[in-house]
Amino acid sequence: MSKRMMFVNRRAPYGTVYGLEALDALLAASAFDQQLCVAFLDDGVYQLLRNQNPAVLDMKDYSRTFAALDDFGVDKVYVERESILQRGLCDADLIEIRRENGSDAVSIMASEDMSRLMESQDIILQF
Amino acid sequence: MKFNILINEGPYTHQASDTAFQFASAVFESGHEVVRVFFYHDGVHNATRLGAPPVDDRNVIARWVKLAEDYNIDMAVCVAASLRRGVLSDESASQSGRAIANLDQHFKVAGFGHFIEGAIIADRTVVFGD
Repeated sequence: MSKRMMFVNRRAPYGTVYGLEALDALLAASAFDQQLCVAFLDDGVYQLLRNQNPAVLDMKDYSRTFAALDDFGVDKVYVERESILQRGLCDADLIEIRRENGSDAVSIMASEDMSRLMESQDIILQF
Repeated sequence: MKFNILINEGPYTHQASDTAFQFASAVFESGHEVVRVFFYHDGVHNATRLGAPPVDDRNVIARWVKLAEDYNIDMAVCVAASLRRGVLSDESASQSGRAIANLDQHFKVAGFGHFIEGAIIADRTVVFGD
């Protein structure tokens, strides 16, 4: 009876609070035994950049928590390939998120595959 | 049909709360049900009892209060989001040593899980935001 819920991050971190509070919301949702996944597209891919240093902005580096998502039962992280390329980034710029068994929790996928994945969800929450 | 509603933006700056109110009103008028209205991000500002808009403008917060009274709606603000922004119930004001509480009594304070519960029991979840 569990529902498929996707948390979609479309905004860069720090400029607005949406990314941080999306993560708070995702962790809260992880207690409910639903089929959760999280997606990053558009400027949302900036949330996954390695070596963030928001301390200079007097803000907290919440990207560290992404690496621990598997501990919260969130083991599916989807990133849109076009969003990465359009911003002059590459896969190696993104932080690693691994499952307990060592496998990669991050799938980088084409826009049309992301669309199909969204269609298969029961609930999409966009931040 | 059972609807679960999420409002992510504050009153007046964004139309989100207006649109959500009109949607919720239409849901009840059509004989359907709103199981929960949850306020997140700046949406928690929709729950202040201290708003004093000009008399020739709509009162976004008073409208929610009236709707909640008419239809006995479960309205809640996110605890973390509201504490961060200074929207405080009597209890959270005293716990955090603040002299003033501004949360309207028709809203309760709950974790984001309250919204997720609503999403599980509802047929549809509708999000109003930017």
